Amino acid sequence: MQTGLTPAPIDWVLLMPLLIVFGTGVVGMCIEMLRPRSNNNAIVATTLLGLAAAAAYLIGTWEYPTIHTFGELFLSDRVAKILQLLIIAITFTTVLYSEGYLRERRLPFGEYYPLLVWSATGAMIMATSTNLLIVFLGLEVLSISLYILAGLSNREQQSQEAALKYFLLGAFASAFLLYGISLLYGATGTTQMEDLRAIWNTPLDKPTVGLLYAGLTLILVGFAFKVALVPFHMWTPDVYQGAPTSVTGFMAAAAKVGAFAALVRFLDYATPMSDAWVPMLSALAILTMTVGNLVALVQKDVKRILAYSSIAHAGYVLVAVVAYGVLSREGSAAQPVSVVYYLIAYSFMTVGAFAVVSLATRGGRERTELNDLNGLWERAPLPAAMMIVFMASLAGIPLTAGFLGKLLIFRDALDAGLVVLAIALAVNSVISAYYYLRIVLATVVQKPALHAPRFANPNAGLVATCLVCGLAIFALFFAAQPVLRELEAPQEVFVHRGP
Amino acid sequence: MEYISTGHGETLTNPVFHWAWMILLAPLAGFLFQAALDKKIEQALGKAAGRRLLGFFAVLPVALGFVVSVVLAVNLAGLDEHSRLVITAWFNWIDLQTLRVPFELRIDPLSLTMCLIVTGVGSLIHLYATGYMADDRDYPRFFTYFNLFIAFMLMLVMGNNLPLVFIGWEGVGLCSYLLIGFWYEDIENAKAANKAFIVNRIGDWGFALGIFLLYWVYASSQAALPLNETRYLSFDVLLPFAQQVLPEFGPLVVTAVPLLLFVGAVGKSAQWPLYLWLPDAMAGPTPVSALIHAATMVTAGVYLVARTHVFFELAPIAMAVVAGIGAFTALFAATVAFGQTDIKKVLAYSTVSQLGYMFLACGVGAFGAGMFHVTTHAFFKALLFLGSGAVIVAMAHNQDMRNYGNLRKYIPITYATMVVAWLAIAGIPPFAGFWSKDEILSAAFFTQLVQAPQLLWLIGWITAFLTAGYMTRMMMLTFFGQEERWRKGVVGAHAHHDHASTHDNAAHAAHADFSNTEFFLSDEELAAEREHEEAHHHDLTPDHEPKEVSVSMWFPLAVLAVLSLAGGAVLSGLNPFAHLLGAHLPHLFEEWNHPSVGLSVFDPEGAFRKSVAIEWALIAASIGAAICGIAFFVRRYAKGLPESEVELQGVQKLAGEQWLYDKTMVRLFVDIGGKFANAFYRIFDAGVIDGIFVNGSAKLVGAFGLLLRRTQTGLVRFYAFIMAVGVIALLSYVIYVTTR
Amino acid sequence: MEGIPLYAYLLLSALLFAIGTVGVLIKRNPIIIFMCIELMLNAANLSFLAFAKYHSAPLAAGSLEQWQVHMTGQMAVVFVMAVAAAEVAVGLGIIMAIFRLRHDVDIDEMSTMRG
Repeated sequence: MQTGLTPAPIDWVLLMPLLIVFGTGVVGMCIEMLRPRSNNNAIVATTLLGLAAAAAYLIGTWEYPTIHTFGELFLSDRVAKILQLLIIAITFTTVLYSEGYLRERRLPFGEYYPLLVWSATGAMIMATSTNLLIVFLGLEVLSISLYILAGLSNREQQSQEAALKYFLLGAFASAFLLYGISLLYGATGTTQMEDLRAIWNTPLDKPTVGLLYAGLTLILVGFAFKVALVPFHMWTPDVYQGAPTSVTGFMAAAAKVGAFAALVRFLDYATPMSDAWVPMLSALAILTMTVGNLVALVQKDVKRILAYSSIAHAGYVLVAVVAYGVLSREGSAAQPVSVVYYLIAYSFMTVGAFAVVSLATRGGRERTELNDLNGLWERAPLPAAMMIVFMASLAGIPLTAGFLGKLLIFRDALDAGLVVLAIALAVNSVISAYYYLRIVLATVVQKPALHAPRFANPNAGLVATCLVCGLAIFALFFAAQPVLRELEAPQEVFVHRGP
Repeated sequence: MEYISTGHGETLTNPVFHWAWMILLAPLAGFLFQAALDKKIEQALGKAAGRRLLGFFAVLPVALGFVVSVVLAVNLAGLDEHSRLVITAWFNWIDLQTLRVPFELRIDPLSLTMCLIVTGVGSLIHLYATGYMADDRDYPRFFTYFNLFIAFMLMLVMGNNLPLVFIGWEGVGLCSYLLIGFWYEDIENAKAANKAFIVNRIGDWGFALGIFLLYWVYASSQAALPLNETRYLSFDVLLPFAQQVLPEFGPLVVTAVPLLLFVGAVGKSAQWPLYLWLPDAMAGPTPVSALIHAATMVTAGVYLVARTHVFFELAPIAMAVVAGIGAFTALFAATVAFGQTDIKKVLAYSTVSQLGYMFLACGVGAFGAGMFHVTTHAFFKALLFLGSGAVIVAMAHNQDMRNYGNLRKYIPITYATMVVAWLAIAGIPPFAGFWSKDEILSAAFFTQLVQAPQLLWLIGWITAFLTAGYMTRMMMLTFFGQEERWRKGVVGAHAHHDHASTHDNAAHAAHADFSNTEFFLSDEELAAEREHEEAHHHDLTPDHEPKEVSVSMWFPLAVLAVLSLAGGAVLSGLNPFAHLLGAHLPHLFEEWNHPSVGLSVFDPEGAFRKSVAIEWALIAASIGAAICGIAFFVRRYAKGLPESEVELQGVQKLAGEQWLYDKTMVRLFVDIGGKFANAFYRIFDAGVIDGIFVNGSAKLVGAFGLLLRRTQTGLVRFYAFIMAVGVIALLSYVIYVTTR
Repeated sequence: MEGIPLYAYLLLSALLFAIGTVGVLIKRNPIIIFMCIELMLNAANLSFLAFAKYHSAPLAAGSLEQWQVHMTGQMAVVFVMAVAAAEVAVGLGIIMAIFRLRHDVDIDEMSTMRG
């Protein structure tokens, strides 16, 4: 903490990526205001450039020391950098195919891009902050943009319904999160995460312990909602189905990455309370994987299948989170390698899968029943082929990043002695292969029977998205080593103090 | 790149072993070439010339791999017995603090044996396929998959650590899936492909769990390993230290490791109870059946067991399980083969049965004999499949043997080569099958490693008789007799284009019908598929004149026939006769492979109690069984198709229906329908994997899914309520924890 | 804390939070539901303020540390109010859009997507 009333020095280098992404949104919005109702090409270009600049900046300052800055509110460590880069990549790939999709859906709103970018800013804030209030702020920035994006189609009841459900339940969940933060503040006197660990070095009276545990639980509820853990998952399928597909893909990837990043960091500091959260989150993980997969089996709508699949995947990541918690408590794991690796893999396969699904749109209407995808192989062979890759990766079939990710999680779970979780993970992967196979069959094998296939023309942006995601999935498998080494690298944390 | 040579521990610098990468990379390059340029070349050069070029470039990398394998084998044979192991590592694929997995190849007699089979037989089958698939719409796609398959298979057999083997394992599974469903427009094929895919997942999970268990065991017992060695999953760490590491974890782990690996082997090598996918896999084009489902991929399980034989030797229970499952499968599948009318199905069950033999050999400790049978089997079974492909082509893609007869007149070359293969599989000396089969039977009789080995021998002996029998039946119905039955009208209403799967019993068909179809497809789609399927039949007619196949197809047949004729005798050095008669001819295969598959835990001298007199008797018995089998069935089918087989009846019909294996369970499930039967069906009879994992589990978990789905009411307030319940549950738990 | 003990504030805050939660569960009008959520947020605000007062009281008056601890709670409230205002804006927008589309805003009618 600073020693005087002068403001703490700020290391702008660490905040720059955030600011660039945020500024990109502002510029995009200005363009939209200056030339309303004309085409969005300028905004798309600006957005892509801005995101690329942020990514370039991030990579350029990769070796910059890990510093705690901005009054110790932000910590840009290796994991935070990687996840920020991932969020930028998600946004970039989403923006690439959005314009074609939105035109086909007759939703040519320029605001879409700034909102998407701001939402990404929120997720990036969540990934770097070590202060609970800032995490809350990031979560709200992320969510509020997403509420609007989910209801982007103002003429469609489903979209509006999705927006309202997401909004009400999201606000409900953030109330729990906020109340949890206030209880932790009551116990520690600050909202800094480090103090959460420090306080256990002092003698604690019973009410304080109660506040700590209750606060922990409520905060977990808030995160559990955002990453869609059972039983806080109920909004997911409805919102994923109703929201425009590009928004759904973004939501499924970026929101989860942001929330998991904050969750891992928070749990890292909440290690003294792991006697409560390890069993709690283990139970949630088993529930989440199982419910997600079982209900996915009986779905007919592709977006709903993918929604339940994303719930199941949140369960897999949670297994990794719990395993990391146990391992780091024992001092045998320094970085949440499997969590981050799986988030990266999962993001690319999800964005890619939704990008392919977005092809099932024509003349303003979108139909995403399973058999609406029949015949995609003839219309758009490349996206359809990539769909096989995405599904294989989601199912965890070897040669894909999804497989290696599950393998790492499985190994961590075994190392941590969480045998039940490991078995649940294994069984669930087997179950899940089934519905992914259905999607592949619908896309590649089956011929359209009743109606002529209604597909949008795959434009260059969409093909690029599919290729980037597909390549990333293979690259993460075959060249896993550099990524893993980057994740495992030890690092030293400096605190940027005043003079 | 680095070399490691265990044995004497010296580092080898002979650059020839670098070439091992070429074996692996050549087919991969072929795959990329085909995948990238297929359409362009076809367009640029025209269909005929383009396909000739593509075909050439498909065969070339595999043949190249064969040449390199031969060179490596010669070099390796030049080393002395204890240093025949070279490992070449390229880069670290995974390098964590607690695990290092380099991308490394293992060059030892076992892996080179498999390489020679895969590339040698593989290039012959590639050549054959250039003729067989010449007119197929998707010719380039076929070779794309085929080359990819070879690459993965080579990775499987050459990888020096379990993750690499697993990649190959999954890769060949993937290619098998793609190739079974090659004619994917036909819904039957898509179903067969899915069945193979799903059944194999079960085996794969066993294998994967085995890998994890091994990792856990080796990583937590570092004491015995060399310092700083984190390549826990590499064979040169796993195998030599098995005897020190495993026992410290108690008998459960010692037994679980080989059994889990064996579960993987059972899936991949189609053993009971997971064999069901292989007969259905005959839906793929015939070269696929020959290469993947007879000569190479299905022997991967045997390879895995032989590779990790140290683990098996440590666990007598696992050995007994392997031997028991192998023997039972051999007998069971041999009986089922009698009830088949589809020529490829006969060969499919024959393959299952022969694979059972190989596991029997492994289970009694004769890993070398098992690998020897893998080799000879690759020769004659590939030949049988390719020959059956030639027959099928000659007979306008009708696969029902009841429509054949007297074909020796029309397709003499195919006939002559098939006769060699027939005598080889039946076990008539000096054909190849005799030597390996006799070795297995004598090992089963003399082994000291399992209880009651004579019983295993008896099962093997009966199977030998049956093998000679059903193969004779197939040959007689196809090539012999005076009547040319297709001229009197074609039996069997259903005759598909090569991917027959005329479901051999009603129950199975019914069963299949309510299984995967409804799950994947709606009624309208199904109707459309059926229409489509019926539209593209071209069928056998009474005035059909069979013609001999082209040279690119019969040349591989001839080569394989030579191998089936002399391969076994040469490789075995005429043993056991040679040593019984006192001559000292070396058993080439045995001496070559001994460093890799020789017993390492047990005392090799004491493992088999041989006696000269009994050995002579055993040889006589096995030749006798073969001759009796042939003679008996030659008599039965000499007059052509017996009345009773026009429609299969009685015992034979039962055999054809896999002894009501499927049917009983379906009846229990459908008719009684009670919960008990249901549970019985699901839990106890793993044999109905078909039902459990393709259909049953879908129903069971689907039911849960439906139930849970009800909770998704769409009502915001209900969602909020569920969340509140979750919060209360979590808070209650926390209160419980803190006040405890 | 002149006279009124900390637990009284906390009790009131918990009560407000519970009322808000129950309101969310039983009300059918989304605007009222949202008001209930606001109630929950304000319950959190109340406990922030109460804790701010409680934590800063024993520290030396006018010291930097007291100022920091106190201000954290106060700042949190300002944050939350700003966030809530943003949520109101977006939420009312969404509700308005639905009203224009359907001419009724009964939340139980909003269940076209389910299962």
